[in-house]
Amino acid sequence: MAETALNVEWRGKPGMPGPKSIRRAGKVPAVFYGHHEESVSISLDGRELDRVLHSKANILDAKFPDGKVKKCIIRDIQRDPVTDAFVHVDIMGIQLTEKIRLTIPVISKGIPEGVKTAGGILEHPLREIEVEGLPMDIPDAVEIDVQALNIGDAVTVSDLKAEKIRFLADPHQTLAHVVIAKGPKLEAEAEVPAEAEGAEEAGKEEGKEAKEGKEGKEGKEAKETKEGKEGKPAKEGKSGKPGSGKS
Amino acid sequence: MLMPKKVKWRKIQRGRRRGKAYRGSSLAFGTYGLRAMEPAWVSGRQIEAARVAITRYIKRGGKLWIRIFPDKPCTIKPAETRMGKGKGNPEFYVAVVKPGRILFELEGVSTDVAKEAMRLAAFKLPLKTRFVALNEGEATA
Repeated sequence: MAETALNVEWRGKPGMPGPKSIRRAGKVPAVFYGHHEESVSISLDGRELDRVLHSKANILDAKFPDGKVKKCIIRDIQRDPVTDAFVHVDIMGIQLTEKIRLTIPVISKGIPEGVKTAGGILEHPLREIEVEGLPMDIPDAVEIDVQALNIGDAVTVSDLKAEKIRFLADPHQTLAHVVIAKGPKLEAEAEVPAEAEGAEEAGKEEGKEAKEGKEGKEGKEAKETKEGKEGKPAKEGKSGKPGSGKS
Repeated sequence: MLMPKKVKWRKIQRGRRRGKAYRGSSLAFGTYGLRAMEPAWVSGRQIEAARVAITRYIKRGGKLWIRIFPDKPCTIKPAETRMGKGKGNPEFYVAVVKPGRILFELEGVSTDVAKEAMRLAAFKLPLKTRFVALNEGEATA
């Protein structure tokens, strides 16, 4: 597992800027907590955090302003749903001799046989997996070889082999599988608009009928029967309700 | 066209669309997606039109997921009707979309094909969108 350094600054003390001001300054509010430590509010440099995340190193050396260096992992990242900017980061201090649980990405290698020859699609129902082990034994990512997969074949968690770490996901859970590419529903496309139009026309006709001959209670009955038949709300007759016309 | 099979209440109030979509704002199934950048009501017809645009373009490759569902009934009062006399009739259903929401997801196609398919789909939708892709090895959470 690769390591990299990360500079942190204190935050949250009286007189210090709040989270909004920190974000405006290009920094990211964060919290540092650990097994035997009290949680402290910190802030990180946004660009440095981006670099750390792209380096794919899981273990970080957090350098505090007081000179201390602590081993840590990034536990959680909150991002803005629209801009993808960092909102907040959870950093967890670790001991290299204590087992930790970490979620690492699953990467598939190669192009499956079923995709090459039969035109299937490789799906990834599980893109990341939770593992348990000593920090230095946990890999940056789990690689799975999908070259031999034909249509209907799958790689499950039980197929993964690692000596020093334990996979916490259900062993039967599928990591990747090749499925048949279903063609577009072009036939259905032609039918759906026609049905929709038909339903609308029927609704209009019924509305007209209600307008012409039926008023008051009869109009309401027409409305109810239509809803019952089609199972969806439909237009009520204009004069279904007494006194709804022009006066 | 997408619409509920049955509804508990035929007519509901319009509500407000403040804030961002914190749920359903990350790619959950596919590698590529279309993200809403502004709030809007997306009707069942618009979703269907976008779906058809995508499936026509990707032809026999790839898999599509629709991440929104039109479950909000919208009413319209008949033409030339005076105000009052109660709420109008339910005419169609919409999905309430907030900024950040993933609308569609695609898998099993190249990036260029996915981009073009999503671009065509975006023309059918009443809101600004952005194409998003999942980086290899990047955590989805």
